[in-house]
Order: sequence, then C-alpha cells, then structure tokens
Amino acid sequence: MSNKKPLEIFYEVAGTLDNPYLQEWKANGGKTIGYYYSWIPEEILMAAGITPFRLRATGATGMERADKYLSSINCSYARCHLNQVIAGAYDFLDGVIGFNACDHIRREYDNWERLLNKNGKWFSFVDVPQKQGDAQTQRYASQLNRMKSAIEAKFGVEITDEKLNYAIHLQNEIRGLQRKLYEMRMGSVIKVSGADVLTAILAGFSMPKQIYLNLLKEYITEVEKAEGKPSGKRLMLLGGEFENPELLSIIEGKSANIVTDMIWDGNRSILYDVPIGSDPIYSLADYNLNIRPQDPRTAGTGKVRFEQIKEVGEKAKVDGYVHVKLALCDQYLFDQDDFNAFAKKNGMPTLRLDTEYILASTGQIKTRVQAFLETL
Amino acid sequence: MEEKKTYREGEARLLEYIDRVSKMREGLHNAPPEEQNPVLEGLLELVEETDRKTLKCLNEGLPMVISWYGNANEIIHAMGIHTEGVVFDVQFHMYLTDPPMKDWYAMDGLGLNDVCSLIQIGTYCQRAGLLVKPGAVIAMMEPCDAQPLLHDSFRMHGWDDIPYFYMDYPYGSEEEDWDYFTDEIKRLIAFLEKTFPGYTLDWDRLREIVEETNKQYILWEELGQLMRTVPAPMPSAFTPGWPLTQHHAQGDPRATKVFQMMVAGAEQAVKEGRGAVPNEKIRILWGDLNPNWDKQICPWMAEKYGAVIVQSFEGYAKPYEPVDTSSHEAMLRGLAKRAINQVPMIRQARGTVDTLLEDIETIVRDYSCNCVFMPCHMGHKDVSGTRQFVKNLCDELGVPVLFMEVSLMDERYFPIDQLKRKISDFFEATGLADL
Repeated sequence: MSNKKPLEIFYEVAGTLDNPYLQEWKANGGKTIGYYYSWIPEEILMAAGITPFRLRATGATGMERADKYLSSINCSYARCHLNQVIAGAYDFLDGVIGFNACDHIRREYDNWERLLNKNGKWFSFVDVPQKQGDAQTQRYASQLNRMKSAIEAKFGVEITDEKLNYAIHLQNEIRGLQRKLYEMRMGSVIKVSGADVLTAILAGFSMPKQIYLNLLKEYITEVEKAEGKPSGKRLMLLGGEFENPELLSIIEGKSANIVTDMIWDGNRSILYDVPIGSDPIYSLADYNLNIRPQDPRTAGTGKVRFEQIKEVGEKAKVDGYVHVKLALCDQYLFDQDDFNAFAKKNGMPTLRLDTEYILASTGQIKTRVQAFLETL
Repeated sequence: MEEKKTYREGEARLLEYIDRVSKMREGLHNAPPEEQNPVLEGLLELVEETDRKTLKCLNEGLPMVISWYGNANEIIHAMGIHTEGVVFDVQFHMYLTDPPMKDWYAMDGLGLNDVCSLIQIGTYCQRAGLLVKPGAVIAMMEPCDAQPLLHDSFRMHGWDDIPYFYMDYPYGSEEEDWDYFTDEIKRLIAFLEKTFPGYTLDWDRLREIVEETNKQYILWEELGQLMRTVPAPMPSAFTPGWPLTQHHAQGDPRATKVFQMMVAGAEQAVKEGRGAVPNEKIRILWGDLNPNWDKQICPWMAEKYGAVIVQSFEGYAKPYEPVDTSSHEAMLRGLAKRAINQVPMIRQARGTVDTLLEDIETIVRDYSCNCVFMPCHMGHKDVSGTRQFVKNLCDELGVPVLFMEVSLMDERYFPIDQLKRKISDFFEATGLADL
C-alpha cells in the first residue's frame, strides 16, 4: 500500500467498497458503519471511534437480484445498491444508519434491514426534517442525540463533547484541504481534473480518517508542484451524489475541465466548516440543515440554492453548467427543471443530462457534451 | 361591438368549471326520478360551491390559500380563510373537457414524465395559468418526493411574491412525533395570522367543524363496515369519502348528508341481500388511491369475472379516529394525528413499510378479500419498493397479489387493454376466474 501514490490509492479506494485500509482497520478490532450519504454526520461516528463509510453501489454490474424487491420505477442507484447488498459486498460493515432521504432509499433501507439482514447487522434510522428553521434544527439535533445514544449502547463507547469537537476539528481540517483542490482549478492553469478531485473526495468517505488526512496532504503537495495545463472550457457540475469518476472524465474529455461543482461528493460537503460551539451535536445539526449548501430535499430552498450556484460558478469563471441526474429521481428532475428556468433567466448556459447508475450510452453523453461545448 | 373580456389568472378556467358543474347539477336535479342521483348531486353542490368561493376571493380580495388534504385544513377554515386545491378540479373535469384530457396532453410538454402524473398536472395548471393565484401557499411535504418540489416550482415560475409555509412531517409515529407536528400546526396558525392580519383562529368554529367531520368519518367507516358484507352492497365505483371530508370546506353538514344517503343506500342493499355486482365471486383490495379510470375496468371486471373492489386505501376509513374536542390542545393534537397518520397516501407512504402492510392485512381479513391488486402507481416510488414485503404478507394471508405499474391518474401510462389482459391472466392463473 505504501509504495503507491496517493491518487492511485484514492482510485483504488473509490473504485471498490471494502478496501485494504478498512480491512486493516477491522483486523485491528476497529468497527465500520455504513451510512446513507449526506445527512448522517460522520463526526458522531468518528467520536465513537468508528470508521464511517458513505454507502455507494460501486462495482454493481446489474440489478437483477434487487428486482425481486424493487421495481423498474425505482432508481438505478437504489437497485444497484441493493444488488450489492444481496451480493454480500457490504458484509464488512458492522452497522448501517439510514435516514428519510427519498422514497427509493427509504424502502431500499427497509428491505435491507428487514428482509436481507442475514448477518445480524446493527441498523439505526435518523428522521431528518425536510425544511430549515429553529424548530427543525432542534428536532434534528434531538434525532442525532438519539442516534448517538444508540451507538453508545450498541458499541459500548462514550461519545463525549470533547471527542465530538475533536472529530469536528479533524473533519474541518479535511474540508479545508479538499477546498484547496478547488482553489487549484480557479486559475487559467488546471493542475487537477474534476474526475481526480471527485475520486479524492470519495476516498475520504471510505477509509479511516487519519490515514486519509495524511494521504490528502501528500496528494495536495504533489498537485501543487505539478505544472498543469491551460484550462479548456470551464464547467460546473450540478446534481446529487456522484460515485463514478468515469462520468466526469467523459464530460471533461479533451477540451473541458470541471472546475467546480455543487454536488454532495463535492462542494456541498466541504464548502463550509462546522462551527465549534458549546453543543457539538446542535452545531452539526445546524451546519447540515442551515449552513452548508442544501439540495432539493430541503423544501423552499430553490432560489437560494440557485443563487449560490451562480455565485460559486462566477467565482470559478465557468463557461457552462452541466446538471446531471439519475433517471426516475423526482427530486433532481424538479431541481433540473427549476434550475433550467433560473439559468435561462440569468444567461447561464446549461446542459441537462440523464444517466443511469451503471454508465451506458457513453457515446451519446460524449456527443451531447461536445455539442454543448461548441455552443459556449 | 362586444367588449372582449380580459381574464385574471385562473379566472377563465374557474368560470368554465363552475358553468359545467352547475349545468350537470341542474340536469341531475331536473332528471326523471329513475335517473336522479342525490349523492352525486350533493357532491356536485359542494364542488361548485368551493369554486364559487374561490371566485369570490378573487373578486373581493378575500383571503385564500393553496392547501392540501394533509394540512389540517379544518384550522384554515376555522380562521375564515378559503382553501383552493391544486388538482381536484383538473381531475374532476379531465374527461369533461373538449377534447377529453386536453390538459393532460398539454402537460406532456413539461418534460417531467418520471414524476407522479398528479404532480405533473398540478405543475401544468400553475404554469398554464389555470389556478387562481392565492394569498399564500401551504405546501404539503408528503406523501412523495415530488410533492414539496411542486411548490418550489411554483416559486420558480411566477409565484415568488407570495409567502409559503411548508408542513414538515415527522417520519415516526411516537408521542414526540405527534408533539412535533402539533407544534408545526401551531406554527402554521402563526404564519396565517401574520399573513392575513385580522384573521385569527376561532376555537369555537374549529370545534364545530371538527365535531361535524367526526360525524362524517364515523359514517364513512359505517359504509366500510357495510362493504364487508358478502355480496358487497356497492359496486367498485369508489365512494367519494375523501373529497367529501378533505377536499372541500370541512365541517359542512351537507357533506354529512351525502354520507348519510350513501349509508342508507348500502344498508338497504344489505338488508335485501342484494350485491352490487351480480354473482360476486372475487373480492379485491385495491392497494392505493382510486384510479381516475375506474369506469374503464370496474364494470368489465364485474361483468366478466364477478369481481368487485371492496376496499382501497383511499376509501379505507377505519384509521380515522374522532378528534377529541375537549380542549384546544386536544383538538390540535387530534388534527395532527389525522393529518400525518390517517389520511390516505401519507398514512401508507410516510415512515416505514409497517403501516402499508398493516392496512393490507386488516383489509384482507375484514373484507374477506380473495386477492390484492397493487397498482404500484408510477409516482409512488415507495410502494414500488415494497413488493417483496407485500408478496410475503399475501402468501401468509393465502391471497394472490397482482402488481401493476400504472398511473392512477393518467390512463395513457399503461394502456387499458394491456391492463385488462394482465388482470385476466392473473384471474386465470390463480384460479379466481374459475370460482
């Protein structure tokens, strides 16, 4: 492992589920808990001495096994993910934490917990409010406190405020370093591709944090030293979760660079730091619900979100926006449609792409991107 | 020269609706006795009145909000504020327009095809100017992912200068969840009082409304009890319990009368041992909302197979508990529970899979169903993720289940002929056709 370059390691970790770093962690008695993206603060798991793992469907080559449980109107992420669960790709986890993400994921979670939990994995669920506000932040904090107590009881650990604040500091440090990868794409010389940045971030959700932090520092030093190359057409990537760097490579091709984004495996998770306060759980709830950029799941945030995208895009001097969504995702379909209206009004050239979790029709994507780039 | 009328947003369509319903109602009223239908006439009267109130709000600048069945509308009405529905009229009139379904064909241009047809048509109505612009929007955030986003879309398409209140539903069904939603209703009241100065909650009026709706829910469940009889006294033409209680002004005694008429009719049929479907053989649970296109399959199933849909999630009134009116807090809490745990769709979709399964089990047993139809409406992505749960349960109950993939609102999603073939195959393969 140690002879490899950090980026190679990131690609290895992001390209599979169970990875050598988790295996070593587990061999030394460490626990790993998988969580459905974005609304389960990793810091609480870190404070419990557990390695958090952001659930992905990486490696899925089909959905056949899942089709007994989900149907063709469920999105390909949920189906691919359940397929991986059935295939045993997640047997390495000690537990799973879900939340009311969307209709597909809620039921995928139910199926996993109740019908497919063959090795007695621990499951927990967090009810996350779907709008902003003081009452909602309080409720979310109370739900997180409940999750914290459940972890303490299950794994025989104590999650103190001190440990939580340490975890928040560590995560903020990681966020700060990841933001550097964005800063290095602000100028006319590009030192790192969008696909590589996504890979580096995905890896951070999939391995012990301290090891990741050291690798990230090393990687940034390497990138800083790199000569880079002149920027092509500058694009901003928009959407939800992105787990496949190949899609970004296809979009970037030979003549474009994804220089920034508003996605969960990107800016939404790293643009701001979690504030350090007297009640770390409340700080995490406040950060997640009110401070960091939201997605369409948080009702009533459309205009603010789109203004935020515009601001981030302008700062990165982007030429165009590429909004990507999975077929059958209601949340991002509306988001795409509403953003399109906003973009038209504000003169922001936008390409709308529909994809499936397992990338197919890559030729078609290339053609559409190429045609879009020619209009810029 | 005749002056050309310039309509305000939503006005022309509203006048068209009122005119059509008014003529239908008058036609029914003046029909020969054998063609009269007092239940339908009663429903039409309420439908027309709701639209007339909307028109009055438009003309006189009275307070009106867009709202939904899961928003505890009793509160809004007890504040003297009118509620306009987004999708009731466009559905009610879908086969009455010229050409039929003209709005539905027009909505295809939105490109939101993956989203629930109901949400699509609601989006279309707002963008096409078919709705009267309200003074505020009370957004319901269940039962599906698209529902809250419909309102965000309103904001992005011309209605960004009015206030919005989003009702946030808890996921669980414990005391703390009821507390949270009760507080959410209090926040709604504060929002309305701020948005419409001078309009406050009249607690006595709220008690009156709730007491009246309590009666209606009891009658509705009586109707359900009668449908448990074999043969069922009413045909698969689903009862209008939902619109009567949740889509028009709550607490109207005329709605209670409509229920009373339906109960009386069903009681008489039971007394006479008269089934609505001759030679009833197959009793079906329809596990979702009633489809808009029921007339295209129910009479066919009745005639060909002696099949009757004896209950649906929409018509299922057993979950409704009378709201305790002994105190203000009790009323709000009762309405909170009704909104999040008793109204259709939200009841089955919110939270884990448990409630959906509980309802299927209870209905199959109570109504002596010998099969279950799961329409798996294309907008109900959650239901489509429950097929193995439902199959396991139906195996335990010893009843076969048919999974479809339809749009409950838009028959074009799954051609009716294909659906009929699927139903025929199912009845034949399971032996139900040979009963």
